[in-house]
Amino acid sequence: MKRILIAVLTAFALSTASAAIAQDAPKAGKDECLLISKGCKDQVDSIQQKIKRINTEIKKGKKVYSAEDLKKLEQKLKETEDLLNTLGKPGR
Amino acid sequence: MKKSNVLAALAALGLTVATTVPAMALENEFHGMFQAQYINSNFNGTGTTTLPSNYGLAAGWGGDTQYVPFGQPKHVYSANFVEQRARLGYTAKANADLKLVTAFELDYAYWGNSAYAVGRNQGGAVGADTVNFETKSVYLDANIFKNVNMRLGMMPYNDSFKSILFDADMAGIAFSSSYDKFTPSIGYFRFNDTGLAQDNVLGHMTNDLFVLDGKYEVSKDLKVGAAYYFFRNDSNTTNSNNLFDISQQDVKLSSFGLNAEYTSGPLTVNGFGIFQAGTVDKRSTTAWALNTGAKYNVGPGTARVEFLYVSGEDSATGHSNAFYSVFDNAAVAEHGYWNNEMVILGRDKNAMTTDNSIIATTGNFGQGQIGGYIGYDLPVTDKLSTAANAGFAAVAKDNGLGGAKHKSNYLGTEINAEASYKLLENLSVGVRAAYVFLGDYYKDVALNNETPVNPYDAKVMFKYSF
Repeated sequence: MKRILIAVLTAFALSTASAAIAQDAPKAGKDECLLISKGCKDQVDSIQQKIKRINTEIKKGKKVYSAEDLKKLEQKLKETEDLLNTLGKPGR
Repeated sequence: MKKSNVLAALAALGLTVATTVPAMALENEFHGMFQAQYINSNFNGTGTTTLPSNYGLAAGWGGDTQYVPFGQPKHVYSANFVEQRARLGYTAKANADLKLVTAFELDYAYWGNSAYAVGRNQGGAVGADTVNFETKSVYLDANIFKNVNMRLGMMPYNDSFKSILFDADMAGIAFSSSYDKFTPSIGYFRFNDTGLAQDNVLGHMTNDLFVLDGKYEVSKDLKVGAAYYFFRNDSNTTNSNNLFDISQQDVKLSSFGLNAEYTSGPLTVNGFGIFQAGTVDKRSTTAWALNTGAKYNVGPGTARVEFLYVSGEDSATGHSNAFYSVFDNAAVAEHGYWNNEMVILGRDKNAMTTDNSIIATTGNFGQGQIGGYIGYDLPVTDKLSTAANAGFAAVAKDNGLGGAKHKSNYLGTEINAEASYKLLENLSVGVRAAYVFLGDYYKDVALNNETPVNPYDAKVMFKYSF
């Protein structure tokens, strides 16, 4: 029983530590939520905030992102702008 | 391994998996918009935008798409009403390469229309309680291979020509790709299937679209594109160039188009050309459209210019030059030319269920169109933006729409102005007013050979999006 308790506590300690690291990561470098939909659990953006956030990341340029990453971000920006346009599309 | 050790290992594994699940779980995205607008107009919501019963439609409410003052009283009482719309979008993203996209709409054509009813755009009267939930799109969006995206289902899709051919929710499959500077797309869509009306066999009387599209970035400042669209309509619908209802379609039409955009400092110039050839309603058809547009950053704002020519015909028999879009019949215009920024002459960017225009469809019921449009966007502060526009439009050919040949091809001149103020981060309030000096196309077409009064439209709009 003691072993089970130790294992459980260890696993819990490790998982919470890694979660804390994951949350800190975007501030330092790449925003993985935007890039590969990872670590998005605490993020609820309005569509305008999302556009702003993508633009901010694109501005970081090649210092932070590879050319392929930047292309992905630009694609996401287009998708998000298209979504905003679709939501406001006129007509019946 | 002892039983207790196994249990310990499983417990540790189980907890680790449980705590890491959120990072790998579905990402849920909710977005939406709300728009409510008060309209005062002698155009929208009146008899001149309610199609007569002989046009094959049920009685309307002044929101039937097309301006039809023919044979109606010269003077029109001003309508005043409020319409309301909300759209909700939910996206379930499994990962960066796979998502389900959905969009829904709940709207009232006008406050006070009905309650305890079943039907789209209903339920605006006291009591509400109406079944009026609309599904706009439901589709899968997947990056199935490196550089290959697939969209499958009911999706929003538009042409590469400022939406003058099609811009709608449509069911189909579309692939797009990206190879360095080249972006090809291919797609197939089924607009209608009326096989049940023929012999109870689905797929026998269909209305389909095949799309082949490519864009190439020649340089940072120059982009060019080419597209081929094939329309095949064998369905039992009203989707023709005819204003009046016809039952059996016969369309086999190829559309070839080229487009380009060039940027040089503060100036952006774009444009396109489309050529159509084939058969429409059992008539051999060749039709074309030409467009050019420009934006120039001048002073504190941006000046805009647009020009559009669309071929037309003056006879309903023999070879046709009527331009084909999806579609040109009344009330089924699944396309628009919103770039001209018109309110009455062309389709209004703020229109919801009540969506009327003098030129409601690109083909303009076989008449075609010639239009020149100018405008200026002026942002005053971070919160206040303004714009003003003027438009000049004529039909390319007079085919006697409304009963007789017209005194002139000139439809009219529109002036409009708008201002939008950001009340809160995502909430804005705006006003837009438009006035049209009718051209001699409408001279003497009202009741007792009188000329209809000039139409106007004024809106106060609240818009929220998130």
